[in-house]
Amino acid sequence: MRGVAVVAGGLLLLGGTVLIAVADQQRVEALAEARAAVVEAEERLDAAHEVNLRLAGQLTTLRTAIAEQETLLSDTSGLLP
Amino acid sequence: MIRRVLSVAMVAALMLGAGVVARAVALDEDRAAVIAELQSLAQSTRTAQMRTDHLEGSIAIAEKDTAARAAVLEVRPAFVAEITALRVAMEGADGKIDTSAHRAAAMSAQESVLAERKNPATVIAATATVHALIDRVGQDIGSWEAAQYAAPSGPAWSSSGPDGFARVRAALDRVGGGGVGLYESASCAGGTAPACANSSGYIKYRADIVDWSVDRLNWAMAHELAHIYQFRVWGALTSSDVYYSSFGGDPEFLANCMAVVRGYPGSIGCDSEQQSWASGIWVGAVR
Repeated sequence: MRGVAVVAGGLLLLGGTVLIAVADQQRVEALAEARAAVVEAEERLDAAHEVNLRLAGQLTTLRTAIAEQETLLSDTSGLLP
Repeated sequence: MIRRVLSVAMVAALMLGAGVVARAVALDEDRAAVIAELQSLAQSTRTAQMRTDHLEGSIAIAEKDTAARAAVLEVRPAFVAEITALRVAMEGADGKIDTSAHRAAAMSAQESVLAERKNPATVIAATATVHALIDRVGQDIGSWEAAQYAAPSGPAWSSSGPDGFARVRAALDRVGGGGVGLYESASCAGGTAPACANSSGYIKYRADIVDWSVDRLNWAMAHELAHIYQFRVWGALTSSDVYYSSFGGDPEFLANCMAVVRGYPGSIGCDSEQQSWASGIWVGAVR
């Protein structure tokens, strides 16, 4: 009778330990997964910023060109006063 | 002995349990913080993408604008060249014809060119207009020169002298007859009229009018110049009903009214309706 109780207690202890270990493993994995997602999102954001920077440069070049054309278009030299 | 072992085991189990729970809580908190960070990153990425869209739209608009302006600028030099040619032509016409109307038309074309930013066709049309104006100035100079040759030969004055002639000439120029020939003659209505206009496009004056006051000379020259403009539309004028109903078919009355319109009234006036109709003759319109 006593032997049976010791075996049953031992089995329960083992089961409990395995359960706790598995749950802990799952938490660690979920955290690692979320961190990987953050790294990925940061890369995406950096890429978007890089594209925006390039586009902003392009837009500035175009606006400068338009300003130069505007000067030429408003130039009244050679016209009737 | 067993009791002691049991209580030690119990304390150990409790501490172990507390440790396991603390670790689980810490892991969950970390994960929540990381997910919050992820959410804020996602928000930033969305904002950045919106900015990308906005920039791309602005670039497309700017590219269209700069292409249109380049097209307008490409045809601009041709317009400037025509304006320069027109200015030369107008300088050559100085003292021969009144170029203020040509100039006004050119200025209007120039305004439209200066305001144009998109459509090169506007500039091309304005260039054509200025080109036509140059031709027109050339033609007008030609007819002025022809009018000079058509006039009687000999000097423009006899007894009134160059100074007297200059006074009458100045009055005629002042009222807008800069391109109209002027000669002294005692032949107007057999010498009874102080001045008269010839259908060939020139004006004769009697020597004594050089002593008239400036206002009276202005009126007289505006009146004679009015006859010249009447001759230009003579056919339409004499077949106009209003000419007979409003002016009794009298070219003298009409000429007086036309002088009033120009701002040089004599002793005979006319009402606003007559003035409005008479003003048409100055621009070649018989309404």
